[in-house]
Amino acid sequence: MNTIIEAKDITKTVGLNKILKGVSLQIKQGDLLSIIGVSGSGKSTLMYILGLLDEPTTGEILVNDNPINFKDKKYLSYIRNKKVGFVFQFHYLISELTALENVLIPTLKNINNNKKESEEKCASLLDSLGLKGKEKRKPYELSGGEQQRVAIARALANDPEIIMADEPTGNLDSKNTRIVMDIFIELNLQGKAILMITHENDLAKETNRIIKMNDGIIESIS
Amino acid sequence: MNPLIFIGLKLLTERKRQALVSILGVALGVGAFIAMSAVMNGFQSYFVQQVVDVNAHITLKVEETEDPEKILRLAYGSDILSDVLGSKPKELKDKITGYKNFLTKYQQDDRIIGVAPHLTGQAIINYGTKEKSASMIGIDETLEKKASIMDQYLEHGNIEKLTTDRNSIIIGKVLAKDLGVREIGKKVTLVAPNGAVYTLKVSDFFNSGITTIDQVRVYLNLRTLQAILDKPNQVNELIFKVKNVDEADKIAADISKDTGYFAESWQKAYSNILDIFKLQDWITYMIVFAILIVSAFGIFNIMMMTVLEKKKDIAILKAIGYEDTDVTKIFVFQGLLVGLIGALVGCALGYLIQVWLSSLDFNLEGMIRTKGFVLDRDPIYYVYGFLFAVIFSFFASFYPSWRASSLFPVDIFRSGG
Repeated sequence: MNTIIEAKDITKTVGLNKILKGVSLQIKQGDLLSIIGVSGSGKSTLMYILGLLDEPTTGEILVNDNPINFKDKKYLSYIRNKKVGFVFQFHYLISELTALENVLIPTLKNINNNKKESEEKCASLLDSLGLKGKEKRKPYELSGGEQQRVAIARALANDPEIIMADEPTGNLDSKNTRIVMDIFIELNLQGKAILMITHENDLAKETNRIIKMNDGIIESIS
Repeated sequence: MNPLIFIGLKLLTERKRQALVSILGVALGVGAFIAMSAVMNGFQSYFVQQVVDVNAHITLKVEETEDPEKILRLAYGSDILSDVLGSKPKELKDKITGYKNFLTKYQQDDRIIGVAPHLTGQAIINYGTKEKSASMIGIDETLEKKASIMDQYLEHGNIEKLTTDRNSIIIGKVLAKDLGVREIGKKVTLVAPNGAVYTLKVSDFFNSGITTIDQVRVYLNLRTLQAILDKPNQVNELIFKVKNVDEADKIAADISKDTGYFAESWQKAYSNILDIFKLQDWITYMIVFAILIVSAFGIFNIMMMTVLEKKKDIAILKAIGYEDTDVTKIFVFQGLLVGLIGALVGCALGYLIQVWLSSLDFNLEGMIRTKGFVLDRDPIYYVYGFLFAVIFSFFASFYPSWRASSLFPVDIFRSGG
């Protein structure tokens, strides 16, 4: 399997606080892995760095075996748009836009995309996530689970190689947690790599690899 | 549609109330600018037009050149400190010698439309029990019509009466009102400086609209006034009408040099008022500038609030691949759109205010006398107002937009939005 993203001995220091103390990790095509650990162990920081939202203090990030220059903001934006889909604990949907428009936003970044085709694709994504008929609803007209599914659809809009999810079920009830988890497993079966941060051990157990972090280092991989 | 315009439009149109307040602020600024410019410049242009045309573009006169210290400077040089006490003004030779030659010469000058002689003097006018001082001007009716447009301000158009009836007089409208003369044909008494009394028939009223002129000025036939003042064949002023009023200063300098008399352009003669107008312009534009600044701050505040409220959206836009410049453009676009719509509404508002002002029917009695406002409805004020608004809106939205683009998404995700 090809490596999508690789972290080589990365550290992250904020002020005097060493958040990551030398972490190396490879995420390959088809991976389904979870990162667990107590609060402050560096899980989210690791995900933000792997997702090119943050810059490591030292160490190197490679995307498709190419080292990333964190000064090249344009390229970072390009990679985030094309190769990574983010899902957060809070849905972060734009309240002024409909569900369909929210999903459409990442595709609009590429001006070569045909808008009509993109709309059809995004509507089909919403349909596949059980949101048929709710395309024109504003986020506040949807339930928490539906909002999170729209956020997942948005993460999938540009057909990325990897989905990075930071506590995606943290705000959901058990029924919606199950729905979201099933979606991730289904996406993984379709070939997408999934990196999920979670506090819930039961969910982590459903993934192929569990990375346990503690005090800025990877304590174990199982 | 460009995605940035799409997002910007969505963010703006879904916050209608805030957008409307911003647009209204800009519109009021632009509307006020257009209306105030029309009123102020209309008034100033009207005043200058009246003053320049009623009087003269250039007046050639005898200059008082009293200089009691001249001989001391000749003897000891110009650096000396001196003060001559007890000096009395010399009797002024108040006449232009050889004026007929000047008339002939300047009538052939391409830059000059007309030249006319004036004899001026002071008198007291009596009508019944009323008595007012007056400033007399003796004119040659034929030449006067070429050198000024005073005949256009006569209520009955009877300028030729000054020629056909040497004992006729044209009286300023305000002076006539002050004396109680209400119709032409009435006889007034004129007391000359030497005490001689003359009875003259009012042949017309002179109504320039400039109060300071209309309350003192009377016109007589040049020959009549020469007889009254005992100055046969004398004139003490020549007035010139030039083709280009903006060149009056330069032509006046040439005439001064040629004739040896003092030629005063209308700009020099009314420099005090023109300076006041300049100050008035400054005050007007400062007020309008303040209005536009306030409306720009309105945009700034609303944009800053929007940026603070939309931090989560900005963070997610950046996470899904939008660049810093994209975020800047989204917010600058909103500011520009507000400025653009505000400017257009402001132009319409300015136009409506102008229409309303011009429809007002009232008698303005002050420095000038008009019926209602005199408006300068130059389209350039719309262009300036529009451009100012758009430029101000751009700058007002730029900082909030830059702040938005410099937000670090991780900070927002960590704080939970």
